Amino acid sequence: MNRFFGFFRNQRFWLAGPLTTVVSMLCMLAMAVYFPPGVGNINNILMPLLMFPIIWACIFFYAYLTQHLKRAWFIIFTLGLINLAIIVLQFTLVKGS
Amino acid sequence: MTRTQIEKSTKKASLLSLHSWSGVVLGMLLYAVIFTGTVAVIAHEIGQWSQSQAPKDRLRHADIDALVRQLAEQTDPKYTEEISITESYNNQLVFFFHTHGTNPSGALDDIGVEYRVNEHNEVVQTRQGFGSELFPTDDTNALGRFLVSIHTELHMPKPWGLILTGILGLAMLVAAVSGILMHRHLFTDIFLLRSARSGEKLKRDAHTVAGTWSLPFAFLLAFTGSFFSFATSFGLPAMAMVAFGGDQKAMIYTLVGEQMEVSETPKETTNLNLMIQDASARNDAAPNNIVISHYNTESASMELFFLPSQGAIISKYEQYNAATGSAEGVKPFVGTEPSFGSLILSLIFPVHYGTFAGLFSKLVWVSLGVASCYVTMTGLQLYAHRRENKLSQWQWLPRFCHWGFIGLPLCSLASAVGFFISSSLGLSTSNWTPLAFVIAAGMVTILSVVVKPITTLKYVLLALTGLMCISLPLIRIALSQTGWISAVQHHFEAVLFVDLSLFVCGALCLYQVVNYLRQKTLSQSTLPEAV
Repeated sequence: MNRFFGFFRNQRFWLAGPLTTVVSMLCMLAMAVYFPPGVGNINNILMPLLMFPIIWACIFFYAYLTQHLKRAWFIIFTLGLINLAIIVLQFTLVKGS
Repeated sequence: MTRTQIEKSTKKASLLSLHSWSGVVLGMLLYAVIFTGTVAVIAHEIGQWSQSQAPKDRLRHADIDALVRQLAEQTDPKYTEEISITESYNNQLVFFFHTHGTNPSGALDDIGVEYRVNEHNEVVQTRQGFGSELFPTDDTNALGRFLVSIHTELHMPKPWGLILTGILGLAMLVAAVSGILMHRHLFTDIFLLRSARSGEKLKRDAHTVAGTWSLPFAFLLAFTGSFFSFATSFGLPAMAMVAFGGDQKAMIYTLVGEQMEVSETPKETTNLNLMIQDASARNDAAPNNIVISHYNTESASMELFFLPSQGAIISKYEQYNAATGSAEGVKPFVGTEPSFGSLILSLIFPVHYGTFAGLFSKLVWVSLGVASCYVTMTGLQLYAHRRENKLSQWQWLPRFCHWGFIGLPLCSLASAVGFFISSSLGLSTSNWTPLAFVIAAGMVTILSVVVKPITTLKYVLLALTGLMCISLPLIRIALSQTGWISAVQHHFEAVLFVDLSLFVCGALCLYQVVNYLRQKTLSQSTLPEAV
């Protein structure tokens, strides 16, 4: 059993797996707030959706290939926090108005 | 070794391990999605082939105006909010008079009445209900719809099927990107097939060559495919939550470009035929579908969707003010104003479906799809072969490979046989097409367990696939009486294309079987001499 599920104890698995997925989703959602909507008022909805696979792939390959795991944890976690803060701020503003 | 060299070799080993595992863990499901995706590229042709009726462009030539007026009179006025008109593969016109509501599962849906009108302008079928109930039970497109549904959702409940295919898209992206990163000689690998090699080494070369050729294609398809899956499963509702405070309806209005302020003041809609003729003449084609909104009101509008015309890449929405009959130009793919997002999205569709240069681009997409199937197959087979010799617990893997890699095409062909037989017996093809697939899958599973020698299993399944490929066009001709001469006379390319493709595939499968049997006989006859 240990042979198959040993990856659960691997830090890189948690960084490149669940954390990368959550952070890339937060990046996509936060882009709806700050991405220019354009004349058609739809760029801020469509472009983040289109870019989601690319955002995920970039963060994933960085997390998977980096030699500096601690730095990667810090960068990805901070990226997630900044985007989460943007989303929370948007919800607070919408509720306030 | 310097530190940089060690780091480089560690990264290469990591990439190789990632490339292998992304293929091994999700390989069989990825193969299912790629194979059915390859078939889905020609889903429209399969739909036409399954009905054996040449398209008659009735949306351009029929008296749509008279039919809409006649049907609107007998329909509840609330359903005239939107009328969609399409032509089914058996040349019936399908009118869906509907409004928008929420279905029992709480999702936004269309609700209304569907009329099917035959070539003599008689209503042959009337059905009422939600769009999500009516479309999946359309018997005329049961075969194409079933195969496409494996590709998009693997027949799993929403949204889990879409999420899984999205994950498979990401796995394909990982395999493609890691493939690019770890190739040191990307261009020389395109021609790496060394004739002196045989067995596993030749297979490894073939895997590399096919993989290198299909890398850009795999990257594009993985990216666009995962976008489609994730956007429709959770992306759009989640974006609506952030951008529109959770108001999905407001988002749909923004994306679809519908009018928020609608006047319900009655005003007779102008002659629909004139607008259809005008749009068809400008595009030199029949519309693919028509949508009329707010019929017989001041806000009446009409949209005609055209597939890319000769020399064009992008599909078109021609828009008309149906109250005055005036043309309002080409509507953007998404939203009301031209935008970068709309342009990119309108390009993603032809890239994913391969519709940018008619049947030629579809053929190229099918070929690259077959190459990608081959890469997935050989990748998993190489892994199986390596493990098979070393560890006894991996011996099931080659058997599993044959079960899936040959079994899936065989079951898909069986679903087509189920479609034709149920159609000729007047049964529901929507039920019998998937049922035939399940029955065939059961039989393939039993065969895979019962037939012990793995090579025999492979060639038994190949022989069955070959026979099925060759018998399908014959079954179709026998049941429809649309032969090849008639298809040529009516310029019915879809029938010729699918029939010939099946014959070629069948011949290739049977050639392999015959070759194997000949070699087996030869080796048996030379054995006593050697002894």
